[in-house]
Amino acid sequence: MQVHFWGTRGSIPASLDADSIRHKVKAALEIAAQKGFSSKSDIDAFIDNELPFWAKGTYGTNTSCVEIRDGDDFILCDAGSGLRDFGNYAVRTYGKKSPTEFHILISHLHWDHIQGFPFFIPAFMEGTRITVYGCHKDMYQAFSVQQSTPFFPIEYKNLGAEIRFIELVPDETYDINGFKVTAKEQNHPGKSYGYRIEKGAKVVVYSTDSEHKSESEEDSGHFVDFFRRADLLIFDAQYSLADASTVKADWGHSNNFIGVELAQQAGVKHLCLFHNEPASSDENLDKFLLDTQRLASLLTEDTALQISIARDGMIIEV
Amino acid sequence: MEIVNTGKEKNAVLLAVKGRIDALSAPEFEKELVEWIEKGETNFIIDLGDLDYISSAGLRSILATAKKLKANEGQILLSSLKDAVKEVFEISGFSSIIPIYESVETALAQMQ
Repeated sequence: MQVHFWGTRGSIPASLDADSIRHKVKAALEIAAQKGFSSKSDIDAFIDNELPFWAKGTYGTNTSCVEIRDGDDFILCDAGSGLRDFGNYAVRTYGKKSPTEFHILISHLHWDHIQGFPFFIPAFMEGTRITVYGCHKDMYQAFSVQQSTPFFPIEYKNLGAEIRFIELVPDETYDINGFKVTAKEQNHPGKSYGYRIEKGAKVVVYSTDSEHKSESEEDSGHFVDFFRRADLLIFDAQYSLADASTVKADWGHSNNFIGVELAQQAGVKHLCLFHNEPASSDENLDKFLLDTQRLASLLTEDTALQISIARDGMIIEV
Repeated sequence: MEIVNTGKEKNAVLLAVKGRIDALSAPEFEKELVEWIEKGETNFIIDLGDLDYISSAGLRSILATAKKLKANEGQILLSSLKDAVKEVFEISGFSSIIPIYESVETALAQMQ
């Protein structure tokens, strides 16, 4: 399977302003000033090998949208602003005249997880079939209200695609476009649902907007089963443990510390930190990843757990 | 986990915690501190020199105790952390919430 991250920010699209770009350019030039370049390939090698990621790239600005693909079959997790970029890619790939099908799992109906849908070009195209799956009863209402007067100029009822909403029952397993999908209720204001997605021997778990208070059996033991031996766990790690325990307690999000603990308990192969804090700079997110990797080595001598942090455009082979 | 009372100085109860504070032992840690608080104690210095491991539940139990003490105008100071445990406090952000000192003596010097 292949997992393509189209949107990775939490809560709201995070802008990248001129001061941030200037900070990157200045840092790159400061490092470059100590070098001599005799060719363009020297410059490429310098950028690729010597600049930290934050100085040459960005974790991106889009809210949650993740594509899980196996050959020609794919499903999407959430319809945050990253769905807009996925839709543009789909139109380029499939062409405007080719009707196609899209399957979208929705974790919950908070705005950052559905706000990309009004900008999803395939939804405007006749012949497209879109099926939205989730455990909330009012999915249709949320999608139609956000795309109505006075919030949006083009009414939901005028979309060209055939759109269906299917309510899933938590803990039941469904076959969705060739993938085995099981939803699980999570702790979040208004509830959210994580998805365990399996195909063949491969397992991806998409678990965002989920607050874990403790790694104890009674609080999170059932999540260890849900995450059990996942090849990839996409985990809401918006906060540090300190923030999650104090000023941001009960906001419905988790932290990198408990992400590592639960992933280690569950025998996860690859933990991907997700729902990045919109207030975090690229430089801070670089450090957040390094700190999390260091923390994992302090908590256990078993170094098998791979840890990454999601960024828009990243692809992970599972 | 083992908690040992090593005395009382400058109105602060001195405790030493050994072993691990994890999801299993954190409730016991919190319960023992609450028992001291119910006896009227409001100031604690906890020597973590022999603490090998602390989990997120352990950190949260220290924070919960600190919050109770703050309500009673008391405080909890930590001392003598091993490098690895100190690093866990720093990465989690707890080193900016809970005061940490190099030794019991330096913690005592700060005790109000």
